[in-house]
Amino acid sequence: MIELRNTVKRFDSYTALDGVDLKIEKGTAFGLLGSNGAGKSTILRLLSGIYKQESGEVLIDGENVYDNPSVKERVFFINDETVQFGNYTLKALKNYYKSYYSKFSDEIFEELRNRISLPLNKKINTFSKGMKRQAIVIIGLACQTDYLLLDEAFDGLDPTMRIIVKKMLVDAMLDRQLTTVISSHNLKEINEVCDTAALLHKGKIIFSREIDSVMGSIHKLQLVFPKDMEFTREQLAGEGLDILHFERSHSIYYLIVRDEIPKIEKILVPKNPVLFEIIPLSLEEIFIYELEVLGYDSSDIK
Amino acid sequence: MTAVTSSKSRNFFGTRFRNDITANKRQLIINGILQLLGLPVISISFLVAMYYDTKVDNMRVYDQIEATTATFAIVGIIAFVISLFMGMPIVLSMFSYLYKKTIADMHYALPLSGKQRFFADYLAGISIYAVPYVCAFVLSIGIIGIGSIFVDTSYFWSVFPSVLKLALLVLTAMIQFYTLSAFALSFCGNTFESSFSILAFNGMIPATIVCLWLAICDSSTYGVTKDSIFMSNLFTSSSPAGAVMFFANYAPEASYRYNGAFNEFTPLYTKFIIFSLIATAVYLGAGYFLYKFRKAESVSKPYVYKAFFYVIMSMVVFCILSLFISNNGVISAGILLCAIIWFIMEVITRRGFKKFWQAGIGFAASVAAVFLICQICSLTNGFGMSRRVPAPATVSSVTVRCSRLPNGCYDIKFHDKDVINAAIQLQEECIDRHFNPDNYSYQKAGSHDGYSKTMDCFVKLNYSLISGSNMRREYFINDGMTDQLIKAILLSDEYASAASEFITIDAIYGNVRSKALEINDKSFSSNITKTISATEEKLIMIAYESDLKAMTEDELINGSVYCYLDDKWVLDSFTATKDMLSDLGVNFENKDYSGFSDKNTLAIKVNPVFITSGKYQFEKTNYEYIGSDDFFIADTITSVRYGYANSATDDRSMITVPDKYISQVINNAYPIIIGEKPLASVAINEKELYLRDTEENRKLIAEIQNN
Repeated sequence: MIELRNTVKRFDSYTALDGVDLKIEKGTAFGLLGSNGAGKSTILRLLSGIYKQESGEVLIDGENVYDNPSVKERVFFINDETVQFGNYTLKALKNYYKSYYSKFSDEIFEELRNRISLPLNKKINTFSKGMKRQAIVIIGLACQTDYLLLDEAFDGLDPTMRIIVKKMLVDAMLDRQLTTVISSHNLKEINEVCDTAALLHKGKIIFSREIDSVMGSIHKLQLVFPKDMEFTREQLAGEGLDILHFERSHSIYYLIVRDEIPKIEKILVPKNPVLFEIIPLSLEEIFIYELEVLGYDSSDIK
Repeated sequence: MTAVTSSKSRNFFGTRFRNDITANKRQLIINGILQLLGLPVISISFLVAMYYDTKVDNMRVYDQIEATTATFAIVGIIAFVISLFMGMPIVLSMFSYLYKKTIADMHYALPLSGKQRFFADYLAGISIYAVPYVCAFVLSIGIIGIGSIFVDTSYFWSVFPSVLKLALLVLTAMIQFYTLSAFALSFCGNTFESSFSILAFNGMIPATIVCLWLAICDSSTYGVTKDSIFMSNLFTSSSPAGAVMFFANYAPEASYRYNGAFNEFTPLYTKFIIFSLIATAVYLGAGYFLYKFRKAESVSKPYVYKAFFYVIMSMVVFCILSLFISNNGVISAGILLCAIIWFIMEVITRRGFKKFWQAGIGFAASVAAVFLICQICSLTNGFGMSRRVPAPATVSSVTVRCSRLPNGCYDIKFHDKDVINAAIQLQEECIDRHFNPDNYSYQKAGSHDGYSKTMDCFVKLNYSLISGSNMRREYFINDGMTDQLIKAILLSDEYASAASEFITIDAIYGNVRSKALEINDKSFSSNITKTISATEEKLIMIAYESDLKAMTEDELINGSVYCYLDDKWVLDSFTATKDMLSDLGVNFENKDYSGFSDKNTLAIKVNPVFITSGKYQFEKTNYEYIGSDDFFIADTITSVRYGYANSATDDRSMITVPDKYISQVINNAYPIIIGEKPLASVAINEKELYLRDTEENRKLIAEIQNN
């Protein structure tokens, strides 16, 4: 299990993580969502033992990660860069990681490599960005670590390759209880791969829940009330609705509400709306509206 | 729940080490090629040159071969020097993740502790850097070994222990260069600053030590010489540049066949190696300490620990300003130059002008510190260095160079307590004359007219202390002040051993090189060059040494000369040497000088008066500082040397010796005058001897003057 306890990470005067508490159960596919600079990559680097937290604890299976080779051997981190492997051939890179990760499986490596037909003896700097990405992903999977951390994992992959890589990840998760932590701006992909997600903003966790639960907790409402009835945001909020977004166009109300459907119905149905429609939100919309509440939106951009 | 870090893990140190070697094989190959082109090619070149040296008679062919082998030797030297500098690209490659952001994650995420990663990288780099050197050295020895079948390499093998020592010295310096560079990398986070800091630390550490020393020497530090810094462990052992200087001084001594007592740097060798290794360990420890506490996210910062930037820049400012101050340069120009360098570097490291006022404060503080150090040096007279005299009990040996000793017999190391005590007494007198000039009176000689010449004597004393440190002082003083020291030296066994090695010369007859004796009679008119075998050389050296050791004080002061070997005197009491010469067919017993043919080279000067610079002599150490036109009569008028008589510039008239007194003057002329005033100086065949103050000589001079 991965656990961050009241973790603080600063870069000089900038606080990247501000007292983060996070738990990721073993075998989970965990998505890290957040705005730019929210702290997603910082969490991944803390988990892979690259960074050391200023305070709090970063634990994997109950052990501190930083400067702890035995824990780090159970973690494989794929960052959002690929240039570092340029001087290696795929074979050399495989051997490099194989020497550090005792569970490295040549069979898995060969099987995955054959699936995507990567050349073994060509220098990686001759690969396209997507091929480089594939190369490090198959090495990461072949290392058979308990935890795989991916920062912008699908960046640079074409749609077909995205499907293949996703399938590889899902297979590994199913086969050997691999815990995957993925940070991405592509919420659709997080939605497809992950079962749990956390939203970060300015170094703090906004929520950390199962994605189904997240999607079931925020709803878009389209309402039209009788002509003689008008409501303000404050009035509706005063009746107990957790409104993230309120918009009115003539008689039509658009609301984003963070509440269970029965509760919403209980408050709004008695007001006899002419139109009452609950529209499911995508993860991307949830992301936008959650952050809008925190003042992170594009409305200020002229 | 408290976190634990107890789980067992594989030790990946070896894995990292192997991977580092594999990943950096390009550097290994380049370094290997350079090393193979280095010492082995130099060895082959010399072997070929030596082979043809004895085989080829035709000078044109010989010259062509010599030019070809010299070219290959130069290529070898260049390749070797480049390979020594390979330490920098190798260390930059080994620790590239410290200044390349794109690869930092890859290295830090691996299952390694910081300690495993640092030491594996460090040792892998050392291996890539130094192992090819060791292999190339062993190969070179093998080449010379094989070459010994065809060429006489006996000289090489005679100095082989010294060659090994030199090789170890180079290896030590290489390791230090690499370690100091690794240390510099540990506080940098950017390519430019990393390269700059490596060069800066390697250069500025020795430069700062030298400049600090110059500042001390320029603080009127009497007797303390600027070049003695090259014997200081602080300088030689703290940086590769210092090691190069030590190598340059030590190598000529180490390559000398007679590895005897007159070496100055040889005794410092072991201490140099030990201190170098200690300094290297300190750099390694400091480097690891900084590495351990630096954060992975520091990559791409110019300086992870900004203090080191200020350390480097302060050293630069100190060196520039102290040189301006010591050379009486325009200080404001020095400050301006420093300011330009300082602010340019600040703009580079700050990547702009952010908080630039801090740069101004830093610069002002640095300049103030330099002036403060120089002022302290001046006020404390070089931290009291010039007054320091070692206690006799703390001195294990003293190496003396004195211009009064016969040519070649300088830089002799003495353990003899009499010599050590005499050296200390001489030093005390020098210091007293410098600091208390009013305690001494000097009789002014008026104009230069009527006086002979200045009697300056250069004395260098280099004490080896029991503590392991050494202390070196140099003085320009009057000849007479060294009487006690010279007497103790000439009567010591160590002088006898050293001097005996200089009585033979190298003689070349056509292509044949051999040893020879150059023998002169008392008149320096019958120069006999006698070729001798190695056995004869050894025997005459043993004879001369035993005669010198047996010489009594009375024989030294009141003896008479039998002949001269090169310019080393053989007294009548030197029976063993005389017997050896007799066996070689040389005999000056009862030689009659009445028929002396070079009469025009013989003249005497009665009651010679020698002059000195008086108190000005003791103002500064260096001869060039004696800037007075006033001359003073020397306290004592003595000499143990015989120099070239300079009658051409001497404005006192010389008296020609009438024929009937020639033999007596030549027989009585003596090169060694200690503690007395000579009656006359004798110029003979461009040499200068003396007539001692005896009844016989008084009568002789009176008769010559009457004629």
